[in-house]
Amino acid sequence: MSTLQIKDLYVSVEDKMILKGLSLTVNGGETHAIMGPNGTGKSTLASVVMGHPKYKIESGSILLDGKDISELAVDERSRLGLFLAMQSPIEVPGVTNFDFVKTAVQAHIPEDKKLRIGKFILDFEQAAKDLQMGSGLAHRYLNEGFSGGEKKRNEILQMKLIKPSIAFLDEIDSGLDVDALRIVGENVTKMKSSDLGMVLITHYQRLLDYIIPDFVHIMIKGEIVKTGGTELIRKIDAEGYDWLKTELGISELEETKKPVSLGTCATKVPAR
Amino acid sequence: MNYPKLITDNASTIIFNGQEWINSVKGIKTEMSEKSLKIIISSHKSSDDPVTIVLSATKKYPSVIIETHKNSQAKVNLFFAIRNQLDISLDLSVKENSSLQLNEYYYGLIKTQTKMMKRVLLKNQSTLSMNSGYFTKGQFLVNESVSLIGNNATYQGNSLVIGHDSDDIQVTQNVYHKAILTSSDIQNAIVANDSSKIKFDIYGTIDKTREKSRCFQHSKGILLGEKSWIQVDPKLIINEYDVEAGHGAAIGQINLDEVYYLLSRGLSETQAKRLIIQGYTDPFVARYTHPNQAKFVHKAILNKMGGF
Repeated sequence: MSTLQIKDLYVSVEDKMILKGLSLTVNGGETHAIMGPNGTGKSTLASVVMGHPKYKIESGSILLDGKDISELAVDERSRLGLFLAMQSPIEVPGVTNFDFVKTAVQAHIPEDKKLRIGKFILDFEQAAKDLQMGSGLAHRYLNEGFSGGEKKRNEILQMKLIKPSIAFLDEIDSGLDVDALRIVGENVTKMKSSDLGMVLITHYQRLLDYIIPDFVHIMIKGEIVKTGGTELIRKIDAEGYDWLKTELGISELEETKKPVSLGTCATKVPAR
Repeated sequence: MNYPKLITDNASTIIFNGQEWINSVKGIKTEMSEKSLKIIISSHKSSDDPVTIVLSATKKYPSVIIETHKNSQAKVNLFFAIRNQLDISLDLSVKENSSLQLNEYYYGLIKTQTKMMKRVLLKNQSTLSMNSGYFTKGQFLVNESVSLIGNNATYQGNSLVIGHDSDDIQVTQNVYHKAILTSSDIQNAIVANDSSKIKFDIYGTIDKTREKSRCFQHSKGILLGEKSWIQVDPKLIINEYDVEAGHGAAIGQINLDEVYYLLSRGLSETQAKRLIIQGYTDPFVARYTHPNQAKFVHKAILNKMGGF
């Protein structure tokens, strides 16, 4: 059972502070939901934990099973058991889904062991079937020409096969129709076990109807301001976040943007 | 000359060793005339098993002609060894109602410079899928001219060029739509390593009154070396309103978003970059259905890619 501990994390991007003292602990077997208004740093949190080079950790720490991973490369974090189902999965033309997932699964196997290709093929086919992804998925190029829903299901397919110990699912419900949402929800729920800790980032209750979280966190302005149970989801769904801002005395986001001159367009000068 | 067993180990293989044809295949007629080699493909039962033609360019026979019979269907894998300083030509004629799937593989060391003229004629209701791999070393200038002279003729041209060391490869592609309802689609994949230099000039021309024709070009290139260089100039010359046409080119270094995505799944940076580059080369290899030939082509590409 793995444990991810995020302690008093401050993160900036291009000199703008996004996360401001965020702390969170996720144990294997737990499902956490993070909700919050747009632009409060939810996706930043997932990306920073995964090690995206764009973000700079100003202070604080990220510990996986007690080991500080904040200096580790992205691939090392993955091999330690972290997984991020991305909000906008990247297309990689020319690389087949099968080759990619096979290489990824192989990367998670100890060096002295070989991937059993026959078993892998069966597992791949089963995962594709569970997610109702249709035949031919293996030979399609990675995410290229996939619909939004297919891309999200493909993220879950990878998660099923890679078997991470801590997974962030960043808005996995966006772009999914009702049926696809149910399929994703059921598949993710089936993966729940003491070997997997999950963090679901979402805006909507509908995903959390299928994947019941143990903890619900509300993030505003780069920090977790409230933690509770599923009752929080219902309240947010009904009333939004204003009540919380009022309750906690949080002012609206400061307007830091200033008008910028875009220069002048060519103007027509009247003939004299 | 020794030919790799991986490409000749096939019952449907004919080889020209520079002097003579050293075997024959049913359904394929070969002729040698002054300065040219002629290959006529009739009704080869090619549904799965392609005919393999292995050629060595020589000064004695600088011109190669490949023709299909009317109403025929064929798959041909052409391995063309280019070793000497030569000006060579390949004339390809796809006759009425016939279809040809041609995989071309050019290889060999060019010491100074070789120019190649490729002329393609597509007649009524004919289809050509031509997949060209340029893996020569040295300076290679290729001029392709594809004329769709028959109504409903269709051309699909896929090229893969890999530059290595100081290779200099220049490819000019001309597609002329000279009949109605013709269709062309060019897809180029370009990989430039080290200080190699690769240039594509692509022209698509639809003449007036050749309505309902389609002409598309797309090129993608990846620069792997600090001194590598790729230039792609796509051009469309359209003289008819009732047509569809488009072009696009994307050249750049390895996309860091793609690398990040693959790293996030546990692949090392080297594995990630290798896989991304395979995205350029694998579709070409996949067209070789004969396992030994696919293996040969794959190995040759790896060799050409050097460190990658």
